Amino acid sequence: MNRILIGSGNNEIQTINNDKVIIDIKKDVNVLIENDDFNKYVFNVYSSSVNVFCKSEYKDNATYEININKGYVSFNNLSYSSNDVQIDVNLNKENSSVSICNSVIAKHDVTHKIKIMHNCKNTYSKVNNNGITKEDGSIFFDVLSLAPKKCKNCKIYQDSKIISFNDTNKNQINPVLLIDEYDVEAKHSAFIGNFNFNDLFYLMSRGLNKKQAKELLTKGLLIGTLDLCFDEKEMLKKKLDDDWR
Amino acid sequence: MLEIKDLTVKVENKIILDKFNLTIEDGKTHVIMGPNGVGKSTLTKVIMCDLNYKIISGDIIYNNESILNLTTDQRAKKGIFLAMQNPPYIDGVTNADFLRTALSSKYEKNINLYSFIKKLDDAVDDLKMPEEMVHRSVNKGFSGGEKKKNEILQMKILEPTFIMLDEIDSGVDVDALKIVADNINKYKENNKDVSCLIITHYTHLLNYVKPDYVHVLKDGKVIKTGDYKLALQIENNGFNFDKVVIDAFNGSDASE
Repeated sequence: MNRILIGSGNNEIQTINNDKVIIDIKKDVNVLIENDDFNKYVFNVYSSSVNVFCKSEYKDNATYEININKGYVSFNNLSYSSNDVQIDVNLNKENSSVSICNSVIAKHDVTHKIKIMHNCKNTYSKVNNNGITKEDGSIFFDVLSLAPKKCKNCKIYQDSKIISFNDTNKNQINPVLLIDEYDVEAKHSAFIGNFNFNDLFYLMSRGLNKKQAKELLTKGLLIGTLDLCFDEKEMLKKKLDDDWR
Repeated sequence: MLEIKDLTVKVENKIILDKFNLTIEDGKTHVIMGPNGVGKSTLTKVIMCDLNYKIISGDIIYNNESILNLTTDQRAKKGIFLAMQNPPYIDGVTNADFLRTALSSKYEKNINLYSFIKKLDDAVDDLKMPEEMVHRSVNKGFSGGEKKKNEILQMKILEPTFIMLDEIDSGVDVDALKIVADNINKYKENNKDVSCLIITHYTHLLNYVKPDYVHVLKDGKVIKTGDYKLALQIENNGFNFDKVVIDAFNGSDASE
């Protein structure tokens, strides 16, 4: 699969219109968005399988619009910044699927809004938000999935988890499912708190001390859950070690 | 050697172990049997320092040193290992990452990647596990048998000196049980001083891993100790304690 670096200004699928990067994808591709000068991206996907990775480490408020006209998009976001993120997905044709893995490290108050529109029957969406808060940080995950009438056989999943490493009480998860059709499968879960005692006990029973166990769980939560290749994950874990410990 | 002396353990205001005594010498295999809820799993978790259980009195001594003041990881570093009945799944953390971190922690230095991969590959082969399992999240989506094999994989990599196997035979098919048992036997053969505490309800595992002692636990105490024959008696008669005790007292075989 080709790998396209967005922001390099040198590839055929990308156009820039009023500070908005428009990416038209008609064949299978991996897309990497690194730190660049743009804050709004529009993906138009036509009958293809796409893996997107946004390393929006120090980016200003970023907006991503993903229009899927049949095909599959795996959208991965790792956010270190203190700015907000908005992800809007439109599943416009049958057999359109999206999987969003959104990992957030918050040292300040951040809001991540995700909106999934199931505009057609036989569409699939899965949102997996994971965040940790440290220092003065708090996270608000606002997740909205809509399935209007006649959108039969849609599958809608939302999972959000925030682990607090600080004493904030401002963390919030707002999982909303608006479904106006009977024949839809949907579920959501939301968790705010600390790491599970049983998980920590299990890791510690193999010789990891509490700090090591928490670090391993943090890397697993934020990076292990992303749909990326092994090498990419290893680089991110090393960066997490270097930058954020 | 592990010595448990007059150990009384409470959870949620209920006494689970009551002045419990047990000594496990190096190289010996002990089995604890008993019906559900008598404190078998509690014993293993207390030895491993699960903070959900409160120790009221008594002591646990490992290699002539009390371990009561040690944390879970410190006990693990002393060589104590618990293969859990229901190990949790940990999303995002791969088996390989987990084991490499655990080994690095045990030896307090970064483990050579080549030797680690070689050791892991050998252990995976021995357990007839698919290679890709080491790159999957710990226990996530694993079947009952795969989870138990994964516990034994960890045992082989971490090389403990005292092993607790909590119902390692539950949820495991016949072929997988034989593989698990073969690996336990091989490990014991290669490490003669390793002692073992097996918690089980059945003799399935004991047909392969022969115990030196079998203890029957009731109301938080050992009420009877015997050998492999006692396990067979229980298999035939169930946990009919009066019958087991009376038969043992009379020196007759309860299965007759």
